Amino acid sequence: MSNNQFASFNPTTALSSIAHDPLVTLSSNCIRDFFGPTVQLVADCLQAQGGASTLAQIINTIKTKLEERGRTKERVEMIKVTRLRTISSFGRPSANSIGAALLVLIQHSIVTYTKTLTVIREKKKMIYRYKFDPDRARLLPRYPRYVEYTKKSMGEIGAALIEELLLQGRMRTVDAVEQTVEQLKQLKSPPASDRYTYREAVLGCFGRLVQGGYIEEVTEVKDDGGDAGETEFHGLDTLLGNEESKEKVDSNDNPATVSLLQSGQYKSLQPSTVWKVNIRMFHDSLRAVSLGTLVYEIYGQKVQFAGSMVAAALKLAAYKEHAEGDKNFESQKLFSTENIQRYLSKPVFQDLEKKPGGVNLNMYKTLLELCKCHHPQVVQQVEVADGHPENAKFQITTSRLVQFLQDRIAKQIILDSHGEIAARVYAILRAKGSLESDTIAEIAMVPAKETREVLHRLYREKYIALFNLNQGKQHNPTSMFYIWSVSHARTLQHTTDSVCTALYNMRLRRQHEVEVGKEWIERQEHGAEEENESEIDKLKFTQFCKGMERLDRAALQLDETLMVLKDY
Amino acid sequence: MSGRKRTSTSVQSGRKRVRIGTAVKVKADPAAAAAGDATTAVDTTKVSQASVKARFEALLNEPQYKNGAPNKVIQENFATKEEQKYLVETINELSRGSRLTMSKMDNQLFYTIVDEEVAQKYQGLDANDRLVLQVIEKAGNKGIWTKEIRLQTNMHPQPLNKIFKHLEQRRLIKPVKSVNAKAKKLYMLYDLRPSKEITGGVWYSGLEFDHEFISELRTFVIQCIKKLNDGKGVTMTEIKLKMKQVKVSKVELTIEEVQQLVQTLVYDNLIEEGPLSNSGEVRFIAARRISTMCDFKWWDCLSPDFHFRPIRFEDGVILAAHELHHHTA
Repeated sequence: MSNNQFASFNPTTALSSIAHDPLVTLSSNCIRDFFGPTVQLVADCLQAQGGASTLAQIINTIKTKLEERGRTKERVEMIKVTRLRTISSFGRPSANSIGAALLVLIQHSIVTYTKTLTVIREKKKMIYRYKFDPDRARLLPRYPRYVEYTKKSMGEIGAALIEELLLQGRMRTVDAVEQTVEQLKQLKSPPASDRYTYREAVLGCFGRLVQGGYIEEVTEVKDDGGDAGETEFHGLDTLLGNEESKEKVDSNDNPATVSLLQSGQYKSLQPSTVWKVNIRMFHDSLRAVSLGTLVYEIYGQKVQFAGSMVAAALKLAAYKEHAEGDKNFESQKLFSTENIQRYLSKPVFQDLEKKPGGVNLNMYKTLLELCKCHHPQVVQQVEVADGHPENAKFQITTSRLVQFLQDRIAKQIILDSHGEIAARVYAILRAKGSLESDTIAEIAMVPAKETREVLHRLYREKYIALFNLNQGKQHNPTSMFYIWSVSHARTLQHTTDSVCTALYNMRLRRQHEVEVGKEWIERQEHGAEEENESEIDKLKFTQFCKGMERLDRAALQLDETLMVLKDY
Repeated sequence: MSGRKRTSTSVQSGRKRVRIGTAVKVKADPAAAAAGDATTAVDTTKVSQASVKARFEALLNEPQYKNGAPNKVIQENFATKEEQKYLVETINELSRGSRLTMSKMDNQLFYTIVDEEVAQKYQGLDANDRLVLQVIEKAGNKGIWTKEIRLQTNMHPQPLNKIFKHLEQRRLIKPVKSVNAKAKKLYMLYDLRPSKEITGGVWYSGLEFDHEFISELRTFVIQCIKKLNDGKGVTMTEIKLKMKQVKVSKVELTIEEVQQLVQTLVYDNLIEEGPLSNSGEVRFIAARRISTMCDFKWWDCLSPDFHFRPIRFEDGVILAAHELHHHTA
């Protein structure tokens, strides 16, 4: 590392992309924050290659690129442009560390791989190609949200188990149980009941999470044919959870856990099965809660229990897809009043029971009322069953609700960044379609000149589109029609990019603050030598903590918005 | 005279030989008049310039000919030649005094009488003045740009400006400015009210858009919606009525103008459509608050130099800017 005091803060690697895609930049930063610069370097290399690469290609690319940077550094030093602006030297990682970094990425499902069998000089060889998934990488800061959700629905034990699995990426059954038990003992949180030990409570919770679809088994990628003999590198097979090895027990495994698993009580849990968290299930569950809240806010006063029933129906759809493995899109979404009763909260269920007609009839009436609501549309009746309300089938118009929410987000961002008039113009174009600027000015009750300024600003920011219609064959601006419109897909893309950029900037700012505040943290830890210094330090440290808290809150808010825009 | 052909025309007794092209004064034949219609014999004695003029004015003042009497009707009412002779003089006299205007429609000539008061205004105007006045009159209440007048009348700017001054002094025309082009000078007839396109309508005060007035009206509408009918909803008609009662505006707003206001509030998500009233009109209610899952407000963090700016919070917490040496790999 160089002696330059300012060179310590370095958020990028030699292979980091120029920020043309905010999503990729954000993913790279998240990887660096969680796993360090070597793993980030490998991820950046995979991203830069595009498509899938072999390990040899990755090593080669990194080596070439770092050599180039080294030569550039030497040239700069020779020219002596500035002594201060020394390019920070990044130690060249070895092939083993690159392999280890790749393993980490695979462990956390940020990199996927494919195996193909090829014949080279009459010898069969298995070629592994690795592909980077930036969407998975940017979910790393969202782990606390999943843990929090699990805590609310499954309690402390479930939350601890999910936390362990998320931190490790993927784990064998025995390892997951042991580490969760360790964590619970450290937290000194009691088991759910006096009848069960920690181990039994964790295993019980584990089973429920698997049945609920929140934890899924890691499936092995099948070979094309035969074993080529050579393994890519040590450790890869362990991550895969080979079918044959599921029942095998490691000599280091805790015998108590193994015996519980082998007792037959927990049939779906084999000792060496490899598990990971099913992130999609969490997203679908969070979406169910959000859309339920949305429907409650829009129609709650008009239609009682609207929000609860929508949330219940969406939770059922998530369960069907992830727990039951129903891949049929149509059947996933269909539900009847009986199907969703188990997802209703107790107070809601009791209220429905108390009403005359019973639960089924009251739920049916509520759903019929909701079918009449069109702004936005919430539910459609798909099958009618006269006289048997419990057999009628409905489906939630999830995409319309999500689109409504996304539109609101885009409008809110425009309101916050460009003002009330810009938000109104956007809403008019969204509602009315394509219009000329004078018409927009009239509807918005804004002078024509101001409207044109706002339209051009929104156009520069890519929130709206412009279509020129020439009246004659020759280009003549005075006789041209300028028609403005909004494209939902384009606006959504731009909004997502803005949120990714903002989140990246917040994270970068936070990382910088941590660098700046290192001294205060260290002083705080070591204790002050003089009282005066301590007071000043305390004040600075308090302010530092407040600043960090605000940056963290901002990052959380942005991540929540990004979840709606990208993962719903 | 050499070169001219003599036409031989058989002339009946009592009529003069006329040279072709010469105006002929025809006297009424007393014998024929006496032998013919009794009224004609009576009219012959009473027909005079004054009587023809009076009858002509009376005819044009009739309600059905308020917008002009066709030539056909004039000819029917003034059938005799003597009447027609006097009629020609009457028409000339009235035209000279600006008391008569002529127009053509569907190949027919129309005569319209002008009030004396109005006619007095146009007295003393020469042909150029009248031409400019005519061009401005054609533009109606939309007004016409000085450059357009120059193009249509083909006059130079200097004499045209003199004519403008003269006509302004006579209170025949007035200059106006348009909200869409404040630098342009438009002229229109003095008595006309400029159209909405020029003034901008109720929402403009002078030539400026009255943001404050609109803001007050919007606040008033929101208050109406929240407080009237116990918050159950208010129709546009009820809002308009309330505005009139409270006299929130000096000018009474039309239902379309109230609709414009209400529409902007809907687009701003401040109000929304509710149930229908008994009369089938839409009621408006206060919009429910919807959480958008977008609570972040520091959108200036998207600017390229965000990292090099310090962030200062209200309570004194400061996040220092990055040093310029950072961000190098």
